[in-house]
Amino acid sequence: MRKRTPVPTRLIPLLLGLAMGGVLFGGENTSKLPRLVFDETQHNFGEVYRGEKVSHKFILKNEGEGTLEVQGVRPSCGCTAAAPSKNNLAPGEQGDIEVTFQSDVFVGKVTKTIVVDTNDPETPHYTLTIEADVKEEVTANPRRLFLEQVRQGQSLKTEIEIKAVTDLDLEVTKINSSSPVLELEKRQRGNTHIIEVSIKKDAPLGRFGGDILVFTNSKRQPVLTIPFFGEIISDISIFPPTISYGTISKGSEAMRQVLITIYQEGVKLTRLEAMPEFLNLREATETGGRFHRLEVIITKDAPAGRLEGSLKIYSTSKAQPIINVPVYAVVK
Amino acid sequence: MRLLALIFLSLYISLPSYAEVTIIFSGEESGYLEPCGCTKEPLGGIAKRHSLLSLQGGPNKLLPISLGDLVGHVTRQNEIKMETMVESLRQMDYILHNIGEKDIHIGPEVLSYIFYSSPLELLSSNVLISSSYGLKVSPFVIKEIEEGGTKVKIGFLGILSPHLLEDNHKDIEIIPPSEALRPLVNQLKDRVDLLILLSHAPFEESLNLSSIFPEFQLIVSGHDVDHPIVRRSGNTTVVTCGTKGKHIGLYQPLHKPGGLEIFTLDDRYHESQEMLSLLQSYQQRLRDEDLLSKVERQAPPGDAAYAGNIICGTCHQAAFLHWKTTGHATAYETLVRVEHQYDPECISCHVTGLYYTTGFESIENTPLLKGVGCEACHGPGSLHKEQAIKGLKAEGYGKSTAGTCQTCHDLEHGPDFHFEGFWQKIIHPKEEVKG
Ligand code: HEC
Ligand code: HEC
Ligand code: HEC
Ligand code: HEC
Repeated sequence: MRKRTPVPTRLIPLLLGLAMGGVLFGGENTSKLPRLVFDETQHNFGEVYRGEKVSHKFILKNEGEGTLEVQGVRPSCGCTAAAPSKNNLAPGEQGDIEVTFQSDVFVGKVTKTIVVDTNDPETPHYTLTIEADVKEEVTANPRRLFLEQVRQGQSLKTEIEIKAVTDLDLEVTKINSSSPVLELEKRQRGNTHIIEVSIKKDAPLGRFGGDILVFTNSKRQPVLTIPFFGEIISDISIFPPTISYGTISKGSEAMRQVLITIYQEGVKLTRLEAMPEFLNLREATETGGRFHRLEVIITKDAPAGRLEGSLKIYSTSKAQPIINVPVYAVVK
Repeated sequence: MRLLALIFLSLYISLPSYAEVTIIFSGEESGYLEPCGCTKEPLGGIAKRHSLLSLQGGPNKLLPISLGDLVGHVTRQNEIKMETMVESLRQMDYILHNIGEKDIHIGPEVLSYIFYSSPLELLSSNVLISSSYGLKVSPFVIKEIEEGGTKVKIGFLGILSPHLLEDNHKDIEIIPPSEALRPLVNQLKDRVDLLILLSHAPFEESLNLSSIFPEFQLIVSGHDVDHPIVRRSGNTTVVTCGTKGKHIGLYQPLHKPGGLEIFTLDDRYHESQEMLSLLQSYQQRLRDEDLLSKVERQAPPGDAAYAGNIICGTCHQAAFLHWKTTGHATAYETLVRVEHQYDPECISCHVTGLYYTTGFESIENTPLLKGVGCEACHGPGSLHKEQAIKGLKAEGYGKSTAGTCQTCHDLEHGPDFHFEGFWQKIIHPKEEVKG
């Protein structure tokens, strides 16, 4: 049976070829053309463990009259490798393309493709699809750690559970964090390894994030990566921490917003100050909730060159009476 | 000559101008604002996308929509990137953005910040975000277009698969897609001429939705399907537009049979000047915010620290002198040439040890670690140096394999890589090492 994918990538050269009266193909000698036929265009590996390698051979045949040249095999991602058994197939000859899939990054149902480039004029770019349901041998719960807002000086402790779902006698050999804000400790409860995550008391204000790396004795998953994210706050939090405009053209106005969130009840903003003089402030309409929005505007008369300024936010907060936000722009 | 050919092509591309409703779809950029320039045939990027859209005729008839996942990670760089991305979508007249799990990872407060002043509508039929963020999310969007005197109404719905959001964010709730869609589909199906679903879900889940809801003419799906795939399921076409912004989908439901076309953003498309200046501005922001000094760093493998090429060179002279002649030695200068030397994402593969303590920090602080140095392949070598000085054996130090190379020469940044050939190009000369 001759099966074709619905040719998703109907590319412009095709259109062009037609538009130009078929010069692209019309000129060719049509008597000795190769014809690429695959037995199947899709393969489902079923359940696969993350880190495990599986492979499958797609059988192809040249049912045309000219030599079929496999010019390229392009997997869509680094997790897939593909190689043809032969680069040239004589008319009637059969070959295969071996596709190897290894999922280190994905979990769940994944679909990957391999584009096969040949000299078959009808389908020069043929798409093969592979599917797999990637399971984990070692799982982390939660898989991402969302620590939300933590008040500076307060200690917050939370846990990540690391477990093996196979009969692997799991060992956690090392844990690492990319952020100095977190302190990690490990202990074991039966077959479950617990990573205690706490935030250091002297952690600086601001948003933080990164990855916790958990090294295990699993051959399939020697390292688990658990992204984390949070923010250390005090009475008031400012986003963004730095106001950068990038390059703006001289004579035009540019605006960036600032979000001011008040976490401590009773704290009031008393004064806002922007420097130098061609920085203007506009308080946007209240959006409700804990947010105040402020618009910081570089006026039309800002001179060309590098602009370094600051926004100062004064408040009744004892912890943060003045907050300074640096401002940068290049006016061209 | 090449330029002329390009212009010629571009003219030709614009010729078959179908005067009709055109829906343009893209998604899962995951942070790919621009191709990196590492390969001979860079694909994708907002600058090429803009010129493709310009070729398809003006606004009003064009309805560009975005599937979700603008950026891939949660860092300040990605916040700036998302802002840049949303600004580029605005300039390209996008009408809506469907919420993906990576958009949520970046934080609802950041979404609120970025979308507050954007005309782009945030769409989600099944993601509920606490109102305390002041974020407006529409469960559906209806657009009306004049087409040869008659009005065409198009309804857009959007979902996020609950399986994709792994953190329990207390301010976010996800309703099972079919539960959320049922009442909306019933409500909209007689009010619009066309129903389109943006399904931020694994392909299989989107196919399932197509059989539950035959009311959709088109389902734009995704989630890690790197390359465009098209499947017909009854009356519904289910399509992915691939990842990393390399492909753009175009759907013209009224005229052409099937009406679907996928474009690969290769070098037939020039880079639009507006987008290039936006990208330049983005680089300036990375520099001004000094993000290089703020990258998150892990402790390096083992207990060693990075020493620097010259230190290795004192004992391994032949290897050092030869290394100086390879592209690895000038990989940092390559970034200076293309004005990306303040971009931590680029720097990571063009210097030694960026993501590790004691690794590259900046050209001023750590000049010995610029370029792909000895320790980028052999690992931090301070302990080896000390042992060598004491005349001790180099116990297992410095094993370097094809896997080491592929941390940088991955499919995205060196698709032609194969160890044997590449290693032969830069193989160290044999040497006598004195301890
Ligand atoms: C994952 C690692 C990685 C990242 C990230 C990366 N590069 Fe590269 N880059 C490479 C590799 C590997 C090569 C060599 C590819 C080859 O020759 O096969 C390269 C080559 C290049 C070259 C071509 C050098 C020449 O003259 O031949 C340029 C330009 C470049 N990169 C720019 C960038 C920019 C700009 C970024 C950020 C947007 C970036 N790179 C990010 C790995 C990377
Ligand atoms: C003080 C002199 C000295 C310095 C500095 C030094 N090495 Fe070495 N290195 C040696 C000697 C001597 C050997 C051979 C030891 C042996 O045969 O076990 C060696 C061996 C090696 C090996 C081969 C290991 C093996 O398994 O055979 C590598 C790789 C290496 N060095 C890399 C480096 C790198 C990278 C640096 C810089 C961080 C460095 N060396 C700095 C003296 C030095
Ligand atoms: C830390 C990232 C990194 C690692 C690890 C790495 N490379 Fe590279 N490689 C690069 C970059 C970046 C370039 C582009 C350099 C340029 O021209 O700016 C490159 C360029 C090259 C080139 C072309 C340069 C030339 O002089 O011809 C070869 C060949 C090469 N790499 C081979 C290898 C091999 C073999 C390995 C493993 C043994 C390896 N690379 C490991 C980043 C890396
Ligand atoms: C692009 C990756 C890469 C870079 C950069 C690199 N090496 Fe190597 N080196 C290798 C590989 C691959 C081998 C051979 C495999 C092995 O023995 O581990 C090797 C082997 C060696 C050896 C073993 C002795 C030999 O000749 O067989 C020494 C010593 C060495 N390198 C030193 C250095 C020094 C010093 C530098 C910096 C001046 C350096 N290397 C830069 C990849 C690299």
